[in-house]
Amino acid sequence: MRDIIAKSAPKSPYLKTSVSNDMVIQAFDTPFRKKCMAFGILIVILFPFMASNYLIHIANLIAIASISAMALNLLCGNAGLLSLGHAAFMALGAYSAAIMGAQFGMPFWVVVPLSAIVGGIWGLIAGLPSLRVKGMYLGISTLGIHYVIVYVLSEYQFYIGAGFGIAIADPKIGPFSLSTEREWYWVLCMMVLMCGIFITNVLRSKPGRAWIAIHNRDLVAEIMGINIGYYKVLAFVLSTSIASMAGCIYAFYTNVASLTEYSFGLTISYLAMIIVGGMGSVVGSIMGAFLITLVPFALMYIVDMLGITGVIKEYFFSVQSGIFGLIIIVFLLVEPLGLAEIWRRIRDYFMLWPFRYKPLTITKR
Amino acid sequence: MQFLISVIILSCVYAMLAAGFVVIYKSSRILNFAYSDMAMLAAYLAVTLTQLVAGPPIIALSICLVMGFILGVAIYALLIKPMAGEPIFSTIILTVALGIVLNAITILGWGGEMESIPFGWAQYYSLPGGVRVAGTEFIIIITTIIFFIAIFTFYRFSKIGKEMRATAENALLASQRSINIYFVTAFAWGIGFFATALAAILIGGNYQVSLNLGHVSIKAFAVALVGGMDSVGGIIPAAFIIAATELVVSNYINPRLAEAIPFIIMIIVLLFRPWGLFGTEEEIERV
Amino acid sequence: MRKKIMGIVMSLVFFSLIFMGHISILDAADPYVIGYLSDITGDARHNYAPDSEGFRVYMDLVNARGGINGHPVKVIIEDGKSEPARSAAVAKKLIIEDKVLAICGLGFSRSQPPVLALAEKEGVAVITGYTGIGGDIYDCKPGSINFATGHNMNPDFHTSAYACARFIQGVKPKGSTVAITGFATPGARFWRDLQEKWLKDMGFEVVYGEDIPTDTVDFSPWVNKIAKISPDIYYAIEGSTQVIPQIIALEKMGYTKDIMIPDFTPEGDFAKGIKRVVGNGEWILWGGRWASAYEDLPAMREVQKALEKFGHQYPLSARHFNGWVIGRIIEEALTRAGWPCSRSKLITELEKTNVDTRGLTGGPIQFTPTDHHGPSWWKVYRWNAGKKALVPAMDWFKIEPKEIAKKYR
Repeated sequence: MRDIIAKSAPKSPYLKTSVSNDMVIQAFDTPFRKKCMAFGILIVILFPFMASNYLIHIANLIAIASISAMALNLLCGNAGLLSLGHAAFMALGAYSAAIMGAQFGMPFWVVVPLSAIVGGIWGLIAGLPSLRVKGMYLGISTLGIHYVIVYVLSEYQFYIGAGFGIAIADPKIGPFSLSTEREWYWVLCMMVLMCGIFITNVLRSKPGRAWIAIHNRDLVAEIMGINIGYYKVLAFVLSTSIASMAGCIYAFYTNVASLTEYSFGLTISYLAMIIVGGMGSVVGSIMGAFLITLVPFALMYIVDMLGITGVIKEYFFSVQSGIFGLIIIVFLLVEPLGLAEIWRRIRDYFMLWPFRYKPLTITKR
Repeated sequence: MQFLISVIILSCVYAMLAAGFVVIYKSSRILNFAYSDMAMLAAYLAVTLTQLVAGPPIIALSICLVMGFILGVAIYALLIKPMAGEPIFSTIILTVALGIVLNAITILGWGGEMESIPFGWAQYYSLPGGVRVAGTEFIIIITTIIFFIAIFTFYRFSKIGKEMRATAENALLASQRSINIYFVTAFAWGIGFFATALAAILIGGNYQVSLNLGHVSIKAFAVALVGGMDSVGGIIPAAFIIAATELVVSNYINPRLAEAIPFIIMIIVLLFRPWGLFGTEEEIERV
Repeated sequence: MRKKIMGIVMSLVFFSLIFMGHISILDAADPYVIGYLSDITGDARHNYAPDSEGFRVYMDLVNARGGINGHPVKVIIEDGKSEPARSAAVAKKLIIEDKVLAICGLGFSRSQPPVLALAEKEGVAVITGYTGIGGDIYDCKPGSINFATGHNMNPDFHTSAYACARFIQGVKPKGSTVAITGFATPGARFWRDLQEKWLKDMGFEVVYGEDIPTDTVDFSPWVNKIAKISPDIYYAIEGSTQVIPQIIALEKMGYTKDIMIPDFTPEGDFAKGIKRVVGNGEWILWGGRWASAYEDLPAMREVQKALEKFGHQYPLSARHFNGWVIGRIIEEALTRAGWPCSRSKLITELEKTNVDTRGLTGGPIQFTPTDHHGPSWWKVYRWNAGKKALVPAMDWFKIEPKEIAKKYR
């Protein structure tokens, strides 16, 4: 009976038979997954035509947050280097947008790569302590760098006389100007996709393998011949350049570069995103960014829907933030490894369903 | 001379704040990010208790401290113990979320107005040398001294103190020696929150209770780090150094720079002695 | 299997019900929708939340009387949390989802620029309450969205710096020595800078000017210096969380000459702070644009009754009066505009505002098509220990916008 079931099952697409098949990115390797991805892309394309500008705005915020979260996940999740200075690198990107874009008038498509370079240079400086310290102490030194950058930028902001933030005009790419949410949506979706594919590919190549080794046991990695100093600083440089780009785009999107936005609290919320999402996975960063950005808006919507007004609504504002904290607590208690882990478990559950696919060999009895 | 008194008082405040951090880190290796919100909640709680409970304020304040202790034990039992064995990052973000919840509770209950905790001793004293001290400042100094002496003797001489030190060093071996490590760690958390509540009451009595009470705890974190994250004895010299440098820079150089001084000192110490002045030496990476 | 299908169907029904609840049944009397954006849980909430309470209870009163032109007014109050990102997102929600006709209030100065940029893009009127940083306020084009009823802190049109210099001029003789400190934020630094320039013009000697970081616990460096210099008057551009400990520390060091603070300390905090002062506290002065709740005027009692009827969290303060009068301004503009009202129509009607505040501030609030600020009245009070209240130290004086426009810039 078992043989009959086994023979009639379809051939498993998960058993790869050639190297080029194996190297395809996991999201696209089987026909079923390709269909799912096509369906997902369809939803993403149709979304801005069906939703109001407000919802598209939320989607844009989620997109920018996921780019930044992917950068942080690269550093903390994959390479295992705790960095508490993430917000400062985003601030660098925002201010490079302000200085280069608004004051010197450089076009958008020049400023974004330049801000990545600025972020990379500061990332090099921030990465140097990783050669000497590790673990929590590395986090503290990046926190120190955060305060240094913030101090420098605040002095600059006062010096040029912009007390409340530097205003930035809508960016122009050629004849098109990115001013409505929908136009931004396309640009941001493409950037998220490019960033995700880039990071996935980096993780599958030599630096990625080096980071896995360093994360697990860096002493052993060094003995094996991996130059851990080079790869640690590389992780910092890559992560900070992407974070800087995310900050630059954010400043262009909100049309203002204001320093108080980029506080230690912002770093903490990004850390929460990657931990709730799942450390070390690109999909996890996107899911974590999705959840953490969306929950406050969802709570506002629920309060509106229940029709709460008057003095009770004043109390409800603090209840909203309390519920947000509670959701994170409950979530972490239930699944400390994050959303990506839940996703992996669901996926494995279906993949390992007994007799779903024809086994490679069928034992003859 | 006045300057010296200011330095002493500020270093006492920092030391009390750092004690809460250090006790918890020493026992569970967790950075407690719920610290500032816990302090704010404790201070507002003390205000309400002094208004509700008749009699000398010391009774109400003791109730507040006991509640802080119980809250610490409860947080350990409900939130931290289930996460034992999971990556440390998750637990740290858990404390962040806990901080958000405590913040929300504080705003819900007290509306964010400014209060102060009356100790019943609001006098100004003129000491020789042109120095003027307030009664509440005396209380800060005396309380800090008593607290640190108590903590020292507790850790050194009492049975639970020795068990706590053993568990902090190697929990597995401690449990094999029939030490109930969960009870001991819960007790450590209770003491940590007790210290937080005490520090919050002292600040609330001498300065004011408001929403910014917690922001100062970032500096306390720097103090804890400089002294050694797992050394209670290292807090006092570290607090003194940081307070003294900050006030010197504030008075004579540039007040705005004084805000960044604790972090600059922290970075300098990290470069040369990453485990703090009195902390236990840990493996340091050299490339 | 059946249970699973039932479960999926039930959850689909549940979610669709949630989304369908969003569809509202249109009434015979559609409401005017006005948005109020404030920092109800932010850093300075005890200053900004009472503004929203004043506005809310006035609109509740208007609705109880039957609304405006037969239509009720729907007030949507949202929380900006003193964060620029959150304020911008919430402003987008108000403008796009709730389709408000105007946004009132606004929160802490650093969270205002994105909201103002967004409102300008969409043509939504913004009536700032407690603090405003809008620049296009005086000598502006008709149809500009910015209106101000409180402190305006734009470097081109800084009412507060001039008004506070006039306060000092009113209570101290010429040639007195003045010390000023402020928050170490860019906005407060501008204020201090401009106020020092005004004071020098008025013949005062500024002997000490310094910034204090916002998270300071121990004020002894600044307090010791001020006590040593002992100026005739000390002005502190700070909120209650900093200024009250400073006053107490200064008293400890023996400085009890005049200390003046802006109305950033609402009456509730002020009363609690005064209790901690050992002496009689009669050297403390408090001044701003809106009358203090310690003056027991009939209009104030009206506000108090409305607050008690409709619920409030904070004790009566000048902030409530500010929100109340913004409500009056909106009511008058909507009454003139009729039904239906669009955003640009509301701006046109707001430009004809002339509201008699009945003592809540020194004179009427007047806007014209090229002047969205109008003349403002300011008053300073001194604490009186016998009456346990703030009593006026100087009567209302008027500031015309052209006295301050673009000076020192």
